[in-house]
Amino acid sequence: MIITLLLNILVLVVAVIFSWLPDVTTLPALLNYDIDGALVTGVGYAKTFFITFWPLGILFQGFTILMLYYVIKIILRFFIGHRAPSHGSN
Amino acid sequence: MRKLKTTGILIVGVLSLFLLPVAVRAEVLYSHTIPLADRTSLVASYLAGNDIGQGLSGYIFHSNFTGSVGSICLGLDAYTSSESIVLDVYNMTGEFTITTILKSSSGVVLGTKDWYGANQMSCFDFTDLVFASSTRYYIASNNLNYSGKDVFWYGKEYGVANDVLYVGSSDVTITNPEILDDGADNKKSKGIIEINSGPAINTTTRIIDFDPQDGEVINIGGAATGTVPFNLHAYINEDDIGNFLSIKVIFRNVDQNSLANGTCGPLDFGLMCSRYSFDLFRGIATTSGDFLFSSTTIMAKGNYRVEASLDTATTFLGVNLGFFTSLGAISDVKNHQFIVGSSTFIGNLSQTIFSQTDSFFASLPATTTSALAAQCNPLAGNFGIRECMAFLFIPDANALKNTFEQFRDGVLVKAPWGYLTRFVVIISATTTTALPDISYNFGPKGPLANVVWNISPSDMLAGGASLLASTTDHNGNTIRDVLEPLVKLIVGLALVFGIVTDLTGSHGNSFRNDRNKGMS
Repeated sequence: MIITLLLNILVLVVAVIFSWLPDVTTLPALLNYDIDGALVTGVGYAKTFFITFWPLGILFQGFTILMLYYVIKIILRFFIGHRAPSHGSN
Repeated sequence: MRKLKTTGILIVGVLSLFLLPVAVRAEVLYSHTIPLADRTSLVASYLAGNDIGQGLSGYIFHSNFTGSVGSICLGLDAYTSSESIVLDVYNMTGEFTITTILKSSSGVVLGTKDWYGANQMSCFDFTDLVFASSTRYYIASNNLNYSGKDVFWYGKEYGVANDVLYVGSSDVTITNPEILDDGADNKKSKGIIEINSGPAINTTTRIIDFDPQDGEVINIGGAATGTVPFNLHAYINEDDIGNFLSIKVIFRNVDQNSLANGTCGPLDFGLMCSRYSFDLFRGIATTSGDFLFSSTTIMAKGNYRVEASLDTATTFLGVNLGFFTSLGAISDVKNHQFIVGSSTFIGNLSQTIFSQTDSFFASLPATTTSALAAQCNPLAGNFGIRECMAFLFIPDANALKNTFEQFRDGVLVKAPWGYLTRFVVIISATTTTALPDISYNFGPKGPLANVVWNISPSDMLAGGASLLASTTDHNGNTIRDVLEPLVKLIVGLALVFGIVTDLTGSHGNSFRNDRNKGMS
C-alpha cells in the first residue's frame, strides 16, 4: 500500500509536469514515407521469420533489451545530466 | 567512484520499475470480462418435436453463445408437485440425435400442485454447465414423464404467438416457440424457457487448471517408478489470435532423491537432472477457445513441483517487454505440488515452505482494504503483524499494473521520448505478418514460356519449422529444446557483459585513466 501510494504520487507528479507535451502515437513520416507502417510490417516479417530461425529471434530479443538499456540511459541523462554514466557510446 | 555508484543505483532503480511486475508473481495480466449486457445474444429454437424424443418431454436448445449457465427455469406441468426431479442437459450430434448427458441439475423441489402449470416456473441449478456456441442441446427430464402420466412442458404464456426467452436480465423474443409433443395426447403448447447466466465468463487467455492437482498423492503401488498423467486446460482469447504463444511445463523433483541413470529426461529426475521441461505449444495462435493437452510421464517416487506457464509476451532475462504494448503482456504461471509414491522429509519440508509462501503471496491481490484494516488493527481478533507488514509494504500486483499503465500512458508516450517508446512498442510486438508471395513469369519464349512460378516464403518457413521440430534426440527433445538454453545463456552473458562494460567503461581503461589523473 505504502509503496503503491508513493509510486502513484511519483507518477502523478511526473505526468502533470509533462502533461503539456504532445502524445506520440506513430513515428513521423519522412519525405512522405510511412516509417511507422514500414517498421510494423518489417518487424512482423521478422517475427514470422524468427518462428523457424529461433536463434535469430533470441539475438533480436537481446538487441531489444540493449536498446531498452540505452533508452533508460538517455532518460537518466535527461534528468540528471552529467551525473549519468559517462562511459560508452551514450 | 561515488558518481558511478549513484548512477548505478539510479539505473538499478529504473530497471526495477520494469522488473517489479515480474518479481511480484508476474500478475500483469490483460483482463477482459464480458459485461452482462453483452452476454445476452442468446437464441433458442424449439423445434417441432415429432422428429425426436417422442414420448419424452424436452427442448432442443440451440446455443449461439459460449458461456456458463447457472440455472435453467422452465414452465412445468404440475403433476410433479413435491417430487424432487432432476433436469438433464444432453449432448447432441447432428440435428436430432441425443447422445450422452452433459450435466444434470442439482435437483429441485417443485412448488404447489397446479394443473396446467400456469405461472409455474421451476428453476434447476447447475454447476459447471458450459454451453458452446453453435451447438444443440437437449434439455429434458425423464423424471417428469413418470408413470405414463400426462406430463410435459407448459408455457405460462400459452397461446401467445411469440413467447419470451429470458436471458439474465434481458429478454430475447423468439419465433415459433413450439414445444415438443409429449406423445400422450398430442398436445402442443407454447413453451417458455429461462436460462440464467452463471458466473461472469472469464475469457482471459490463461491456464484454467492442470493435473496432477496440488497436494495430490499418486499411488504407484510400492514400485520405484510410476506413470503420472498430465492434463492441462487452457483458454485462448480471440484477441490473441496471431500473437506468439508459449505454453510450457516444468517438472521439478524438489527432494532430488531419485538417482539418475546418466541421462536427463522424463524417465529420470536424478541429482543432476532434477528439472525436466517441455513445450506444449510454441508458435502463433491461430484459433481461440479451450485447449486441452494430455500426456503421461514416467516418474520415480518422490516429491515434485510442476509449473505450467502461458506467455504471450516477449520476455527475455525476466524483462517483460509486453509492458510497452497497449494490450499488455500475458504471463500466467501456476504451480502444483504432488507426491509420487512415497515422500521424503526434505521433499515435504520444501513443499510445505513453497505452499505457505505461494498461498501468502497469492492472497495479496484479492485482499480488500477493509481486510487490510482488520489485519493491522491490534485490537481486532485477526491481527497479524506478518500480514499487516506485507500488506503495507508489498505492492499489490493489480495496483502496480495500473500505476505502470498510467506511467506508460501519461509519461512514456510524450514527445520527444515518445518516439523511442513507439519504437520499442513496435519491435517488442508479438504480432506476425505473413511474408509476401513471390511470382516469376518466364515470359513468352523458351521451354518455360508463360509459366508462372509462385513461391510462398511463409509455407517454406512453416515447412522448415516442422522439419526442425521432427528431428529429435533419443529422449524426444528437439534441436530447439537442446540448444535454446545454451543460446539464451550466451546471448544473456554477452548482454550483461556489454551493459557492465558500458557502465564501468572498462573497455576505455577508465580505471587506469582515473589512476593517472590521481597521480598527475
